[in-house]
Amino acid sequence: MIIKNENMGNFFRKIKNFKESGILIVLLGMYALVSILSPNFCSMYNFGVLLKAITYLCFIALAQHIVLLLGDIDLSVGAIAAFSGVICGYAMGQFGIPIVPSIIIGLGIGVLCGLLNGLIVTLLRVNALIATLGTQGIFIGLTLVITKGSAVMGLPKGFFFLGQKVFLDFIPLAFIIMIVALIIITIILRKTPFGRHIFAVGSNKEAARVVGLRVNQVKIKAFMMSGLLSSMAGILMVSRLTSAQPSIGDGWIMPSVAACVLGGTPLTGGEGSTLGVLIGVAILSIIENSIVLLGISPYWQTFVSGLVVVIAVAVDSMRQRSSLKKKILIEQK
Amino acid sequence: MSDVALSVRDIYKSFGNVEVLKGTSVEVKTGTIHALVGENGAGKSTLIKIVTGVYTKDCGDVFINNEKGHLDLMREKIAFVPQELTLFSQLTIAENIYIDEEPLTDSKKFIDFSKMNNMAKELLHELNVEVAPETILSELSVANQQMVQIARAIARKFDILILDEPTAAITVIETQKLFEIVKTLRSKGKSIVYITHKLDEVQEICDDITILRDGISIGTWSVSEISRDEIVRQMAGGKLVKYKSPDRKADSGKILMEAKAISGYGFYDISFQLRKGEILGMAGLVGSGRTETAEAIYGGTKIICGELFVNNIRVNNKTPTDGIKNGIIYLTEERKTKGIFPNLSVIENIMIPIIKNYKNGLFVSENKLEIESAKLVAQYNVKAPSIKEEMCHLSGGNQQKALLARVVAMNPRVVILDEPTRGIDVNARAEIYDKIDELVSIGIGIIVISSEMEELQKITDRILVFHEGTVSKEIKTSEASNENLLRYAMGFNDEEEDAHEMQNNN
Ligand SMILES: Nc1ncnc2c1ncn2[C@@H]1O[C@H](COP(=O)(O)OP(=O)(O)OP(=O)(O)O)[C@@H](O)[C@H]1O
Ligand SMILES: [Mg+2]
Repeated sequence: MIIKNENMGNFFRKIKNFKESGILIVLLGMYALVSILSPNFCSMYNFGVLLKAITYLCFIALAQHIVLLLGDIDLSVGAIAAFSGVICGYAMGQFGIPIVPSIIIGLGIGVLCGLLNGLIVTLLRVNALIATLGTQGIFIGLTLVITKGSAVMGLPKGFFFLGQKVFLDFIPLAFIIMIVALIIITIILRKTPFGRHIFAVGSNKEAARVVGLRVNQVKIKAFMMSGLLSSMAGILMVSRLTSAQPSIGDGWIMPSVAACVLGGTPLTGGEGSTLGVLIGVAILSIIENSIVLLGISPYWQTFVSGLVVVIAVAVDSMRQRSSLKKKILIEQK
Repeated sequence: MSDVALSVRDIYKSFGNVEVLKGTSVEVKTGTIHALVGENGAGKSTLIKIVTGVYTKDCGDVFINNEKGHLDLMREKIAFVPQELTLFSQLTIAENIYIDEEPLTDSKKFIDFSKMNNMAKELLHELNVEVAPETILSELSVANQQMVQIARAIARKFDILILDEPTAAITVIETQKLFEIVKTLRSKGKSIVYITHKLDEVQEICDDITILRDGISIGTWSVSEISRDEIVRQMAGGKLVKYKSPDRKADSGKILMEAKAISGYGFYDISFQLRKGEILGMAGLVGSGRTETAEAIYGGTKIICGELFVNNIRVNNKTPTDGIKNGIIYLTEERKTKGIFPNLSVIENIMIPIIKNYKNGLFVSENKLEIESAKLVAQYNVKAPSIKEEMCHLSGGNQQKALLARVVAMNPRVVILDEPTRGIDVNARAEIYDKIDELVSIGIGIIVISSEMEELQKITDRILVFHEGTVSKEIKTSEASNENLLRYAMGFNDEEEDAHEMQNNN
């Protein structure tokens, strides 16, 4: 009995020490609240809608997360998604290139965009915020030049499978792909030397250099990984919409950062988890979804996301200050 | 004003499950210099951070001039030089010193820069720092940055000045200047709390001493009535580690590393040989080019001309990665900015450079990492709540020990230790000297850069004395003394000295 009790104690302590627990509670609370306010929220159909929203945002947020871990920020995630999605669609619709090679081209474009970002940030030593502000313009600009501003139509039917197939009436295939990607990224970040090096560089770039880590290489690779994830979001989105629209990545930057910060990835780098990102994404998606369900004007949506960003950042800085105090309170009891 | 300036009573403080202060009391008399000593991790910095309002206490009382301490009172009465620098690297020296208290123009709307710079200039002059106050902070050496931090503290109005290891990063000359200033402050009736691991300093300037052990204040003595060994014993709870230098045969081994007339940023025309089985010291004043030389050797900066050989093979270290490949490992003097990964665990801080060697297939084996780093942590006596604790939560001295462990883990051929015992307590210091001897005995070449003449005399075999960017003198340690090292460091050589003496004789 005693042993069992101790185990219980350990279990609860583990939960308490579990970094994401706070934000997880917020998520569950929000879920419960919206379920009560809107009966439709719990319907199978709506759950499917929610999962779709989570899928795309999560890809982009993961892309952002990797760059934030470095202590940098990437404003071109949405642009990369649009650019690679459009190129992929263009390859199929305009040149009749088969589906798989087209997808590979699209992903390749994402990686190249990431490479360009990485090179500018490391070799030219441009601050990532400025660098990606610039490249964002370049990628969007190229997208518009290629499409002349209108959607690329006439994509092969087989391609739509990726973005439209739904299992059991509510689990989109894209969601499963996202979860697989999430797991792979988590393993890379947690378990490989490269992943640990990302954290080290984000924690203290100078120290990383002094102990012989190839800081530039780590950064470039991380940006490429980020580009790859962005392009996945773009390509899946094209498949879902059945046409390659140059505007698919519009407005993705803010939620990508917001989800990360909500999930405990600070802008200063070296900290954060992919699980946190997923939870952050889920919260944002529920907010967005409930605005629709509760019949609030969609015009409020942007306002609310903005508000959430501000709150998230404020909470983040408060969390840093209060975590110590809270621990002390617990101890005194 | 009351005769007790600062009274700290029964302070308790925990971080999470770790109880750091367990009933600490200190009483500082007005107009005295009060030493606060204790081993690494004893809780000195934590106590001071409570007194200055950086941390909140769990329980206990702080009285300042018999008035119960609250944040505003602390701000008003106490000036504080923290152990780790808290300066703004992109602001000028003057801006750093007068931040938040900038002198204003007559209209009271704008900063009066010329006045501010003049004020800063005077203050710096008093501190013996001859650098223009308009200089951007990041261009300064660590030692000068430390002086700026001190200047910032004493530029304010205060009754109590608290200095947390202010001399860890500076050389004798600055230290003497600081002492003069501190003494002047005392004679003006200010009270000073002085934290240090250098017991000579305690004996030189302090009136009283309070010893902390594991978060408990053991007692307060008047400095004149307690011996040095007794202080160490009280700090450690009886243990007293004495370092005894082993008999080494210098000059016997083969040449591990050789520099032939190397020059680069901040140093020129430096030649030396490092032999197997010896420890080479580098002495010099602030800005004499020792750290700059070391940085170029391991690849942190470039050697612009001259040649460097490791094991008789010419090497060209373009980056630290190259240097490390060639077996040259550097321990930085800038622990906070270039040393630690603050939010990574102790394990990763030690193992990150060699994490690739601990793979099971594609992935890092956490288990192996933990086992290996636990060994090193034990060897180097790093006191941490757990090896999974974030590095920034370790005490300064324990961070330093972890960094030393990292250097050893990296499998070096030549190690350059830049201020290796910065912030390390007396016993641990002796243990680290033993560790360094161990490294030498297994054939690793060691260069020690140190601002403490005693340290160099204790552990090295040969000393290069730097002056203004180049080696002014190479001397066998057996022939070195505080006086001649300092003289060479200030650029006087023997001939001048002789000439001087002859003149005197005439
Ligand atoms: N923010 C924190 N969170 C957790 N533990 C902490 C924190 N700050 C300090 N500690 C722990 O408190 C203990 C005392 O630390 P402190 O910095 O006060 O030591 P110190 O006496 O100043 O040592 P040193 O001589 O090495 O500077 C250490 O063991 C350290 O690990
Ligand atoms: Mg300390």
